[in-house]
Amino acid sequence: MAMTRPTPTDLQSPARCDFAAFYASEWPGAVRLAGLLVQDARAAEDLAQEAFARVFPKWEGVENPHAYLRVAIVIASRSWQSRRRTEQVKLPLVAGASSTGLAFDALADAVAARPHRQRAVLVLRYYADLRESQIAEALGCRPGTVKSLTSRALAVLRKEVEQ
Amino acid sequence: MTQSTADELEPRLRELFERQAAGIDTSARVWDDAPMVRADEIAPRRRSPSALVAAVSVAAAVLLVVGIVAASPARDGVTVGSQPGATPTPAPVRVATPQVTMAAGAVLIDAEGTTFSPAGRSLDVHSDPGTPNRYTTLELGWNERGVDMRLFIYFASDGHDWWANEIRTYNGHAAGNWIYYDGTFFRTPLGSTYTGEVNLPATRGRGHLQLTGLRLRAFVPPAACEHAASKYALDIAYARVEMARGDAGFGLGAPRLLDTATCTPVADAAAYELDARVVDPGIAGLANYTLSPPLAADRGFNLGDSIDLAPGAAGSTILRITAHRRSDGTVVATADVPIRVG
Repeated sequence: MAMTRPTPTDLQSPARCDFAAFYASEWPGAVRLAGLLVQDARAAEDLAQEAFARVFPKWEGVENPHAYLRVAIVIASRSWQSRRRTEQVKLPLVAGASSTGLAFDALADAVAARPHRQRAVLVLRYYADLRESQIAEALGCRPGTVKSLTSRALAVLRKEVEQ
Repeated sequence: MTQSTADELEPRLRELFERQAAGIDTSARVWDDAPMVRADEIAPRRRSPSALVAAVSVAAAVLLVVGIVAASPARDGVTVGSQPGATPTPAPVRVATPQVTMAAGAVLIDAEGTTFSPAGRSLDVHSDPGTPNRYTTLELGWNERGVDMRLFIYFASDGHDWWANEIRTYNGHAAGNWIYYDGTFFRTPLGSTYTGEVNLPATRGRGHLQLTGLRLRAFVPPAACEHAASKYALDIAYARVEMARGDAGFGLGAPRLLDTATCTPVADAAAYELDARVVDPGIAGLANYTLSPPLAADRGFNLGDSIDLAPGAAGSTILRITAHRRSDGTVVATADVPIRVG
């Protein structure tokens, strides 16, 4: 049964407070997910904000706000990617004590070069730890498509990293 | 694709994404459904310079950059790391405090022959709130190559323009000292963002500072003023409150009631009163131990009173602060602060 929430038009309404709390708690994760999906830290905040702005007017009646937000982030990042198709910017790697050097850079390059849907299944599976059915929901496709996208992406990554 | 290959790639992908995610700035924000404006699109608020003044200012900024670049003996390259392969990759840096925002395509600090960069590091980012439109700072701190590094920028303003009058970094030694960059940098009208390329030799110590695609703004008006739709706005020191059960409490400080036309505290503070209420008092309660006399149920806060919170049960709620005019009880401003008790 769907949860219903009053429309948060009144600045002092409980619904708006509810959304503000949701925003505050989900903001960091949303920014990171957006950044990974487009492989651009500079765009991450704008995309996350765009996603929240899509969720806000739909707050009433959204059954699963987290899933809805994920869908909004995927849509926003896909649109951004198509607008910026000609420009490829890699995320900086965070150097760690166990830096794996060039092989890791090659993997990052390979991930960044994947088409959006292939990269999205990788990020949603290996970063967001979503099940196939949840990834399918976020991407708007069937679980079978998620399987084939994942398989194709991993095959290409393996080939490129081994070169 | 064999299962074993997938298994081999999986942990590497997880580690890659975790490391990339850790490098993304996720500074806390509070929801604001007012129309969003990019910082660089915000027109100067306190001053509307004439076209001539604006043109002169832009020209001065350009000349300043040209001058900085021309004066730099190492224009074609900041000295890079002395260890092959250890030079930080130029990567974007974006930081913000309530007083200063800075974004750059790359920040490279040459400290006595070794290059440091805050990009992708776990940063401590602070500003000395100083005095609005007079003095503030941007202070970045991180650990790199096993040593502490600092990039401090000191800002000044005459009420019309802002600029930096000193930049400092550490010199890259474990028991280190400061490297100084003295001068007047980034002079820009208040309310505007400086943009440019910066390539500076140190004036005291041996160092070089390169800021590529710099976008810098100091004396950022309080967020409460940025998108204010009414005459008054409440300025709260913390955008959100995080507490753990058992914590002694959280000092939220004294909310300020700002006149949004000038973005300064109201002059007649005694004419207003504040009410504070936690939506779910089971999660957090108002503590009154800093108030004298203690807070009574029928007593509001005065402007200048600090608000303290005590944690209750785990969960999330909202602290709602309302400013009233004492004479007629009219609500002139409200602010919501998300609270989370873990």
